[in-house]
Amino acid sequence: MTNDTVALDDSVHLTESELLELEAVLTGGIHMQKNAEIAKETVIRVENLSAYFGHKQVLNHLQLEIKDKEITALIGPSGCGKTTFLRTLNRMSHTVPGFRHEGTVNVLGLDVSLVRDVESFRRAVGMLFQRPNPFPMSILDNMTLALRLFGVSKKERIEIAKAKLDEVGLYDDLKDRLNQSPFSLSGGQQQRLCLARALAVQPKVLLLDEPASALDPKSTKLLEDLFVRLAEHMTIVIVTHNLAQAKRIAKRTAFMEAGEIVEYELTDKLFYHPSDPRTRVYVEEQIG
Amino acid sequence: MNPQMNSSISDVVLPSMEINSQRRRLKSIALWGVSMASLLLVVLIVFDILFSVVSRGVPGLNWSVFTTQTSGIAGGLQNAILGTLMLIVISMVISAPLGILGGIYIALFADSRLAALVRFLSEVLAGVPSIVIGYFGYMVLVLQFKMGFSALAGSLSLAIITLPYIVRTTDASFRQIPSQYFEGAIALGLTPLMALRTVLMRLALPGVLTGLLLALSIALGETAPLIFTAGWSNFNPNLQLVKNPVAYLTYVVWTYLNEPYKAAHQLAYTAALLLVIIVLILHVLVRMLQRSSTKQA
Repeated sequence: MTNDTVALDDSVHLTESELLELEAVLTGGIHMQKNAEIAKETVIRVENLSAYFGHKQVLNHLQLEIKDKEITALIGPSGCGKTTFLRTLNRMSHTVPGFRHEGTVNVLGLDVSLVRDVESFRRAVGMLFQRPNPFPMSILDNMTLALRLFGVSKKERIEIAKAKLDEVGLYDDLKDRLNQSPFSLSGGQQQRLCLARALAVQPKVLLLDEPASALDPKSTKLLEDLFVRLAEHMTIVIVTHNLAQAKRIAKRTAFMEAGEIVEYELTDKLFYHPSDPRTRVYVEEQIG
Repeated sequence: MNPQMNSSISDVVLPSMEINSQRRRLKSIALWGVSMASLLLVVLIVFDILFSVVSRGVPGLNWSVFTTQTSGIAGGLQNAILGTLMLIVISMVISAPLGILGGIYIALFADSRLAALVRFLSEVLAGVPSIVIGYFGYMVLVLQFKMGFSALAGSLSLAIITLPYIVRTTDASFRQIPSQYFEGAIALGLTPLMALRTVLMRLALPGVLTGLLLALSIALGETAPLIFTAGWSNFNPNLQLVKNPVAYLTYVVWTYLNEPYKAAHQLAYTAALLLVIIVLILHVLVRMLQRSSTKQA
């Protein structure tokens, strides 16, 4: 099992040739060279992003670069736009009627507003939601559904499922219950199953929308350790209300307020030496 | 010792409130009594209906009812049973796919204004008296499209009546699925159609089936539209779907009770009993499906 995991981990590793390949698939080779250079270090580049739901502006001229193999946290009061921003990165916001955006959002060398093959793009940019959302089918089917629809052979599907369940530390507990419903699992286990399910399609970027807010401290710790380990070979962006969590796991943190990025810094600097007074007020109030 | 442990109600409640609470208790007992009485009344009526249908229908229930066709005012009900089955099967073949696809469309894909419009029109259609649908069926299907009194004209009329129920229950079953399931599926790179087929369908299926069964039992009990469109036949239905009248159970109940003959009355009671039994079975099935769907959620 361990060997399998290592092998699969290697395949998730973001090499330049892989990027070019992914991009060639997604855009038919347009802008190939230019974007590959950007993507080398910076996986997500946001320039002048403003977003609207109908007439209401929710994001205001965001400017941000997110580096490869790092965890980046987005913090800020409720309604500040951090979730909308996160969901713009994999075009999830675009599914909401009335959503539109200006400026460019470049993820894995691809301009999200120009992506034609949205499905392949979303495979490369995985997402974990606030509440665990296992599908109403067996644990194994949860893991293999997407792979089956993408035409992966049965043997390979099951191998990947087992490897990913092992990666999130669930395989030993669940190996005899793979054909049972996931709804009997604890919240923390369900969320790790959803994480394994997201990893099964081998994303290069993982977007986390308050992934631990519905979980107990122990499950939260388990998840955080997993995120840190995953960040060794992928890019992770996490929205969180838990400032201590951001401090524990994120290399960089962006503080957002009223649709704007107030401050984007190395996490330690943002928490202990914030340069903007609004950041200082928020951080001090939250930590008490 | 904690002083509150030994206190009586008058120690903690103001005297004025205590009087109030007595009056409130009386009021609540009165209200409880009234609602209990109304409930009993409804239950009694249901049991009275069941009792009279069963007690009058059972004596006529024998094997020949299922094996012989109606002749004049006597004979069996084989033609009517088969005719009813044929009418509801054909009507469901027409209305189920249309209703389910329509419901899915307005629940998931239509923009909100179009969905609201379709929902409104569907409510209107559900509110149109069935005799009006029957009249429409007679003018348009029987006369204008020259179908004559026939299984097709009858089934199409039933399909028009059941369509809004199927649309409404399908729409509701898909809309009550939390968005996290759809989002979870497309976040994995599934297309919306894949998500619909594999994840959402599974969650909505019990509700959709419930709607179909309810539509079936509505179609089963309709009389008015069929009188105008299906006609009546003393013979078993066959595969000629137009210009060929067809028998059905509700016709027997409606017509034969007006005949001055005992045999005719017996046939009508037996037909009513059969209808009630089928509807009861359908409703038990609905309950079982609903229970399995709540267990899943």
